[in-house]
Amino acid sequence: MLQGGGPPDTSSYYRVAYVWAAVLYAGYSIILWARSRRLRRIIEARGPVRRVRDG
Amino acid sequence: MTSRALPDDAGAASPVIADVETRPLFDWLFGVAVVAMVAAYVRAVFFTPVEALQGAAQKIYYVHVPAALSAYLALGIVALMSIVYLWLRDERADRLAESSGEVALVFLTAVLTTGPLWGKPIWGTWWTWDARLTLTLFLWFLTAGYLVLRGAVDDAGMRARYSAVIGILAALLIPFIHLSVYLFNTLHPKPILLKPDKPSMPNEMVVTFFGFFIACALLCVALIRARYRYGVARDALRAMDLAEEGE
Repeated sequence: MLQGGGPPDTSSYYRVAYVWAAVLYAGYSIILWARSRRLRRIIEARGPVRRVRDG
Repeated sequence: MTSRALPDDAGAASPVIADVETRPLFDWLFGVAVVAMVAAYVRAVFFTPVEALQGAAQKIYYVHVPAALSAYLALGIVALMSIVYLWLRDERADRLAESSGEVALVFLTAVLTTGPLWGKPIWGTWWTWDARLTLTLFLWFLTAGYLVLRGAVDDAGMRARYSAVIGILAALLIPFIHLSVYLFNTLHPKPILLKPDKPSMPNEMVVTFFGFFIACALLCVALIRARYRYGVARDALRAMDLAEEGE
C-alpha cells in the first residue's frame, strides 16, 4: 500500500466517512424537525388550549 | 377556532402545553454545535497533517472516536435518568432517557459505519468479530431494542419501567466495551488518548481530536434537548387526546 515511501492513498475512505457522518447528523436533525413540525401542526389545528384547575 | 378545556391532571405534559407552540425545537445551543462541528471539519480536513503510515484514512479517527464518546455520554444520561425514574417516578426523567436513547443510536450508527471505513484500508477488511466491534454492535442492538420496546408498550408506567431496566443494562456494557481491548486479544487499536500516560499523537492532532470531541458532545446535548422538546409536544398531544376522551 505504501507508494514510494509516502503515505498510502486512503483518501477516498476518509472522504466517504466525513460526508457520511455529516449526512447522518444533518439527516437526523431534519427528521426531528419534520416530526416536530407535523406534531405542532396537529396541536395548532386543534385550537387553543384553555387550562382549568377545578374541572 | 374552538377552545378546549384541559384539566391539570389530564396527562403528563399538561403543565407544559403552553410552551409547545412557542419553544423552538432547535435553539442557540444547536447553532453553537453546528458552528463548532463545521470548525472541527475545516480543521481536520485542511489544517491537520496526514499521518505517514495510514494516510488520510487516519483522519476517520476524529469523527469515529468522538461519535463513540458522545454515544457513551447519551447512554450515560439514559442510565442516570432511568435510575431517577425508577426512584422518583418522574416522567420528565423517562422522557429525557428516551430522548438520549434515540440520539445515542444516531451516534452509535456513526461509530459502526465510520469504523469499517477505516478498517477496510488499514486492516484489509470491513468487519471482524473482534470483542470491541462485537460488543459495540450488541450495544447498538440493545439501544435499538430499547426504542422498539418504548414504541411497543402502550401503558406509560410499564413502558417507562421496562425501558429503564434495559437502559441501565445497556449502559453497563460501556465499561466492558472500553476495557475490551485490554481484556481480550483484539484487532481493534488500544486507546491512544484516553489512557494514563501521555497521548501517542502529535499536539496538532490532539487539538483536532478535542475540537471534534467538543463539537460532537455539543451536538449530542443539543439533539437530546431538541428531542426532549419533541417529546414534550408529543406528550402534550397525548394529554389532549386523553382529555377529549374523558369529556
